[in-house]
Amino acid sequence: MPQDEPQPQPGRRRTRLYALTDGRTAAAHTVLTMDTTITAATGADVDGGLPTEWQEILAMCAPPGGRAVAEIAARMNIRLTPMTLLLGELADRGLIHHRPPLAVAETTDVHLLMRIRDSLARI
Amino acid sequence: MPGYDTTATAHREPAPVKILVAGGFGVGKTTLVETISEIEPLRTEERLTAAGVGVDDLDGIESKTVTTVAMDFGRLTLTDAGVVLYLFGTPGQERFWFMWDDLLNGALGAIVLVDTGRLDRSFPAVDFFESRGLPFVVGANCFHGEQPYTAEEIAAALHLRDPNTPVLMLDARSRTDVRASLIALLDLLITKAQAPAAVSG
Repeated sequence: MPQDEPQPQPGRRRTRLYALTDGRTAAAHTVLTMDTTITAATGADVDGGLPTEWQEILAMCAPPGGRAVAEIAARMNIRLTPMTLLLGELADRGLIHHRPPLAVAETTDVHLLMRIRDSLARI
Repeated sequence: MPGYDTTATAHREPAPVKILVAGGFGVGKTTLVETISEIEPLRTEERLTAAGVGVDDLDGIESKTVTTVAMDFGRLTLTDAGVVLYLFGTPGQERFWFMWDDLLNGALGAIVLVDTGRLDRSFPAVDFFESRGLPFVVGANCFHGEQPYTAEEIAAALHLRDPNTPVLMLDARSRTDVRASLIALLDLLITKAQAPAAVSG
């Protein structure tokens, strides 16, 4: 009898990622990075027919705040790359909006940097 | 996609801004993130394929190594500035972290935490940010509220390429100190942005 085969963990069954992404394994059209902000589209799940994990994500990034991809990944306990794929799928379907992180030109914008500095000084 | 709310969304949603917190293992990076973050620090993971680069202690194995790197991060919303600062720190294995280009892309700058008793642990972070041109400040973590070295001595021992790199004394548990290090980083970024020609390579 083979003794060293991995035993299924009792009580906890992990959902296969391809199930979460609805079969998608290739990159979505929408390119997301770990610091992209995700906001659920208004009325994205009005009929409640979406998979539980998708609903969870939409609830997590309800407008107006939104959440970074890294934060959604951490809270959903899914690694970054699969999470980006999943969110890309949601974006392609119009269920979420996304805001990309600052471009290089913006990260060297003196006015923005000064606003950040002044805000930090007040917290 | 609906065009109706694009503009409104852009004004309502704060822009994400990334700041990295580096340094050697056990120097207090996660503590620093925890001190300033408005949420309990979160941990996320990524799998990286390291094609032998920088992996020199795996008994000479040259084949591709898939490794899981983790990072701890927190966030700080600055409503007036219209941004959310995300502070990313590594719990360990920073040399793998340095192959992670996505982490560096779009980052504003970094805080390199050093423990003056183990300065060598911070050399890789300093070298990395200097070689990649990411502005950073050095924070000397004073675990017991005392620091036997001056900022000048620490700067000299770290062989900082840019002599104007700020070196601050801080306690990673102190919100005031952590905030001061972030402000020092922003001051450095503002100076560089105002005089881009003066940046040396």
